[in-house]
Amino acid sequence: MKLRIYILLNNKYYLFNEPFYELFSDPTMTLHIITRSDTHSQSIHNCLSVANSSDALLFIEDGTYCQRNPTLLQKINERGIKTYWLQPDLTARGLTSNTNCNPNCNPNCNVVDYSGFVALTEKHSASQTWG
Amino acid sequence: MSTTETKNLLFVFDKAPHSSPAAKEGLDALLTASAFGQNVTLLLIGDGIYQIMTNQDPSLLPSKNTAAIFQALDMYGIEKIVTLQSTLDERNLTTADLTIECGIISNDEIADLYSAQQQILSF
Repeated sequence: MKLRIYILLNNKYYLFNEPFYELFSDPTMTLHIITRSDTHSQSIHNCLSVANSSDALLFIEDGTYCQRNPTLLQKINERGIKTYWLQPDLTARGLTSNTNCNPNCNPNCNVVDYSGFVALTEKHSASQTWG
Repeated sequence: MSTTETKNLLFVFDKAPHSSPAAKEGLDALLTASAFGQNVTLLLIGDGIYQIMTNQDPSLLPSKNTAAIFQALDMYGIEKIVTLQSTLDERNLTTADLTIECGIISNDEIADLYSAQQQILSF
């Protein structure tokens, strides 16, 4: 008979059949989804006051306008926070030609499509949408 | 229509395109007012200036391309379109980033513009 031990963590049960340290050595990664521009809402600033360097930011909808603010991008970059930008929302707003968020110029910056969006939510342990 | 009194109407757009139908509704009202011979002015303030940014292509989104309607405003006799210098500066924009001609007014001039209006409509 095989004994199964479950651990209750963050309201989820984890089966104790994998190395125990794996559950705790990785810092919790949160995906912060920014939906409003930095010029119309405080949400990106509030988000940065809680985000840590292992977190990622995904800019969608009007959040993609944050790309117009090089000072803000530099601040995010300096903290080593990865950024992802949703391609259809960039394209709709005429933001694609901007070099502030060109992966060639900024290695911390990535452009994703809708399936990339889904992959990011799977990869991170939790996500928060900042409205 | 002969009894229609001509008024100075100011339309204020302060929201970015694509995420809300505000601009579509505002443009409908603006075009209607203009068709009824009202003296209309369009003020693009704050994120509203993003409405007329170049290279917008919302074909992958469910929203309509309102940027195209802005380009037709001139044809409908709506020529008074203005913004503030601070609106452009805060977004690192210049007039080269805009699809249509837009007058840039100072904070002093905006006070005169507002005092000349009988009605102000915000979208």
